[in-house]
Amino acid sequence: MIKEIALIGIVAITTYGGSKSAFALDVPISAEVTGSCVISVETNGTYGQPNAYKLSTSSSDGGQQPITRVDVTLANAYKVKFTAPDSFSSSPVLNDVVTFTGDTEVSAVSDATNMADYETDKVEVDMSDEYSLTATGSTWFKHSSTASNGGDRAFPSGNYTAYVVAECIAI
Amino acid sequence: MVLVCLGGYSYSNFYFGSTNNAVGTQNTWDMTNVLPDYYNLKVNGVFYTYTPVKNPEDAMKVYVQNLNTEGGYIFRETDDWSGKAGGIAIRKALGFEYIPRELWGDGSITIDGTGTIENASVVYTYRYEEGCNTPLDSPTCEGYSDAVLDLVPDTIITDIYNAMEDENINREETEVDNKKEEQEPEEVKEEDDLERALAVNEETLEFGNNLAQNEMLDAMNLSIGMQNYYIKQIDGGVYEETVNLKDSKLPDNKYSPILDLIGDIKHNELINLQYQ
Amino acid sequence: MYRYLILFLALSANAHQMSPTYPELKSSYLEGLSVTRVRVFNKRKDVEYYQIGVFDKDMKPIPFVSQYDLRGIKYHNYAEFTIYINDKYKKDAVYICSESMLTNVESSAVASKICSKIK
Repeated sequence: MIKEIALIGIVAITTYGGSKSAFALDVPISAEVTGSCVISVETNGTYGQPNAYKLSTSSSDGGQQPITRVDVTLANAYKVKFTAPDSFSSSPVLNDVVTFTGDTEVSAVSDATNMADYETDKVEVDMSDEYSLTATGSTWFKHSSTASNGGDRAFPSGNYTAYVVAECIAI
Repeated sequence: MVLVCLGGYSYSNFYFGSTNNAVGTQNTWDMTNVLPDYYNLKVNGVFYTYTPVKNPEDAMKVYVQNLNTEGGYIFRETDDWSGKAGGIAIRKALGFEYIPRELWGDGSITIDGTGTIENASVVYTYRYEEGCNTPLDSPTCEGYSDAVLDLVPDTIITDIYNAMEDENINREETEVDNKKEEQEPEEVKEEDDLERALAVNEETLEFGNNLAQNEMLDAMNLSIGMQNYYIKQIDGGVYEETVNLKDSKLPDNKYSPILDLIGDIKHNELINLQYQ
Repeated sequence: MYRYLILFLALSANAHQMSPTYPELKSSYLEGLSVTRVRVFNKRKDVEYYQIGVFDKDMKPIPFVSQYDLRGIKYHNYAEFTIYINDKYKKDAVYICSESMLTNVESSAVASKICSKIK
C-alpha cells in the first residue's frame, strides 16, 4: 500500500514538472555598509614647567603627552586632522604674547602592513596634521605642545587650559 | 538500587583575570609558567604590542604565535613591516573561544628579515572556576556525574527486613507482657481487694468479669432461644364493617338555609366582638 | 622662581562617535527643502553638549535648519539630528559635522569633531 502511494506521488510530480516551466525566484540580499569614526581620548596630557616662562608636554620637561585613539570601520573613508593649540582656552590675565608650538605623531597602529605609512604620508599645514586613514582599525596619536611667554617673562600663577582639536572627516 | 544523594548545594562562579607580560628571554615563553594553576582555566584573549626597529628599506616580518600541544598553532599573527619605517608600535588584540590551558603550548615572537623589536609585551586573558577543586564540589564541575556514579558500590545486597518474621520481636513482647503482668498484681491488688469487699455477692464479681459475662450470655441464648423473637407470629385478621345503611337515598335537609343564615349571623357577631 | 600652575591637556579615555559616514539628502515633504538625519553617540563623560553644523568643501558654514543645533547628550546616550537644507544650498553642502562643546574648562581639553560627508 505504501509503495503504491509513493509511485503515484512520483508520477504526479514528474507530470507537473514536465508540463509547466520551473519556477525560480531571485531573493535579493542587500545591505548598507555604514562606517564610523570614533575618537577616544586615551591618555591625559599635562604641561610641565621646565622654567618660569615655558610650558611643555615633553616628559623630559615634566609633562605628559596626551594620546588620542581613532577607530575607523571603513577603509579609505575618513581622514583625521589634529590641530595643536595656538592659544589658551582659559588662563589668568596675560600681558605678553604667548608663542605656541605643537605637533602630532602616530604613536601606535593595529595593522602594521596598512598603517605603517600613516606618519610618512601625513600632511602638515600650520598647526595641523592631517592623516588619511586608509585601513580599518585603530590608530594612536600622541600630541606635543609648548607655550612660551613673551620676553621670557614668568607665567602668572593660576589655571591654564589648552585644547587639541581632533577632527575625523569623511572623504 | 541504592540512590546516593548529596546533601546541601554548592555552585561555582566564573572568575576572569589576565597574566603579566609573558615575553621572556629570547622572546619565547613557557605557558605553564605564564598561566596560573586555577581550576578549569581557559584562555579567551591575547593582547600584544612591540615596537619594530628597522630601516624603511629593509624587509621584515614578525610572527607572534602559540603552539598547540596537539599539533600546529593555536594562533599565528603576521606583521609585515617590509618597506615600512620602524619606530611605530603595533598593538593587537585577539579573541578566542575559551581554549583550555592544556592546549596552549609555548609562545614566541620570531623575526624573519632584517630588524629587531623592543618593548614587546604579550598578555593573556582567561577565565577560571573556583570551588571545583574536586569534581564533587558542584554539579557544574567537570566530571561531576562520573564522580557521583563512582560513589555507588558495585555489588548491592538487598535485604528486606520483615518485622513479622523476626523471632526476637515476639520474644521481646512476651517479656514485656510478662513484665506488665508482674507489675499489675502489685499495683491493682489493693483495688481488687476493695472491690471484693464492696461486692454484694459472688454473682457481682462474675458480672465484672467480661469473659464470664460472655459465657453467661451464650448460655442464656441457648436456654432462652432468642430466635423465637425473630420469627414470632402475631394472630391477626380483618375487621369487617358492622354499620349498614338501610336507606339508599339521602334527602336534603330542608332546614339547611335557615341554619346557614343563623350561622352567618353568629359568625358576624363574633367578628364584631373584636371591634367592641 | 617657579609658580605652581595647574595644567592639563586631556582627560580620561572617552569617545565621540557619529554615523552614518555618508548621509543622503532626500526631498522633504516641505517644498524646497532637503532632509537628512545623523546620529551622535556620546561616550565622553566630560562632554554634555554637541553642536551640529553643515559646511561646504572649504569648511565654511552653510545655513540649515534643525530642531536642535546645540543639544545636550548624556554620557552613553545617543541623539538624532534631523537637518533641513534649502535646495539652493544643497549643491554646496558637503559636510555635516558634530562638535563637542567643552563647558567644564577645568576637566576637558580635547575638542572632538566628526564630519560625515553628504552623499
